Amino acid sequence: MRSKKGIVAILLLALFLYLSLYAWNARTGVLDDMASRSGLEFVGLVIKPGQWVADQSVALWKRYIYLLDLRRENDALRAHLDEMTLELAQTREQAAEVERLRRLLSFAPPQDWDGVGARVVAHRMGPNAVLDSVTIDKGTLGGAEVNTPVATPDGLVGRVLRSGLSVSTVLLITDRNSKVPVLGRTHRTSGVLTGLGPGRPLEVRYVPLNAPVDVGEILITSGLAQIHPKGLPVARVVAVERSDISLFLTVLAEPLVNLPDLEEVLLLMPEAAAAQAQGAGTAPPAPGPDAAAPEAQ
Amino acid sequence: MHAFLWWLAYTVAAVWIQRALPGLDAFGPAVVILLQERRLRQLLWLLPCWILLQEGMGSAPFGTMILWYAGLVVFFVLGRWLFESRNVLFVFFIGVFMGGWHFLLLSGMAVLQGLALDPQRLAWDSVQQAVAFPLGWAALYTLYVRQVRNVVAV
Repeated sequence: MRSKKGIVAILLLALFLYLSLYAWNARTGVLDDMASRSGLEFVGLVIKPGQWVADQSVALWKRYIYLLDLRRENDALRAHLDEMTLELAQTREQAAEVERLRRLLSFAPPQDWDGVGARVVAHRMGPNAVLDSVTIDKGTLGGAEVNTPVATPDGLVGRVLRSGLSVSTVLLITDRNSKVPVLGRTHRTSGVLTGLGPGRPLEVRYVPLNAPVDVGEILITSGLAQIHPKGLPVARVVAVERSDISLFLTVLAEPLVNLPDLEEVLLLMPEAAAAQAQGAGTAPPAPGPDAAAPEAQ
Repeated sequence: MHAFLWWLAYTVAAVWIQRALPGLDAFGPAVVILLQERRLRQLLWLLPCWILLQEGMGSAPFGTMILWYAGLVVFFVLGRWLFESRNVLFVFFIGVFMGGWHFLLLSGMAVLQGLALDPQRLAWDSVQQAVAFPLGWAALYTLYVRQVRNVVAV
């Protein structure tokens, strides 16, 4: 009987300690910071070198072992042809990468904002990764602070949710918890763009019934949340439906960025912060606003 | 192999497993093996490290993973009243429990944390957890018995 009371007391004490810890963290965020700076950082330490080794191994396999082992018994012309084919494939891959990087570099951020390149190293990881997110190889040392907007030359990707020293987690616009204030590029109708989950369209909420919105219209950030720069393209309207019971239109949209296949992204930050991040030895920046006018506005 | 090196190597491997299979917990089978082998001192320093790791790579606010592993430990302790700890059926039940616990815990915590979750993906992650747990345990246990069992705990 005494032992049962003891167990109950221990359970209650554990529950009390947990709730205290939870409430304290909810107020201060200390444990979230600690987890970002240790757990998330460890993930970066494990994934980044592993990915480099994997890339190098694949390249080595393709360049040498594959050719040597499989083409040894073939005649010289056949071997030469295969080698050329392989080289051509590699060159095409490199050309595609160059094209992607060139587009990143030619991306003109909105005025007073600058872009810092980052690479996607992982998507959702672990049972606690309940939100639609990706992990990138830039952290606070690279200028990625919480709420830093993340984009590609095609449009908005999301914003930084958690930031470690050299790794960050980015919340994608397709997540149900993502809210982006937007405007229609043509009719300037405003609304709040929210995700409905991966693989599903986005929804623009709070669009009045009589507001003009066209299918195919591009939605841009309105800048009202003071997180994203104004005028960044986000999504394209794919359906506009009038509801009999709602005060608002049902507007569905699709992201302009192919989110499942993201490889490189740009962190958008005020110019001073971007210069500081680049000074810390990070990726080359996108050119300033004088390079080309942004698509938006 | 020395236990410290073994678990360090496993932690690295588990991070890669979790990268390959989004939503899966690769540390749960390791916790169960440490409990089965009564390596409580190792569990005492490994579990906080793994909780911190899971919380860091996750996207929800801090706190869920403490309850996640607490649930696993409590279920294991309670289950031992009915089963021998290394019984395969027991491990299968732990897998089923972890699948259900994943759905219940994350749904509950999402309400507490004001998060909107995708129910379909949560259900899929839960099924994946339930199916993968016994398989992960079997693979890890086989390796553990060969490599570590006779090494004195650190």
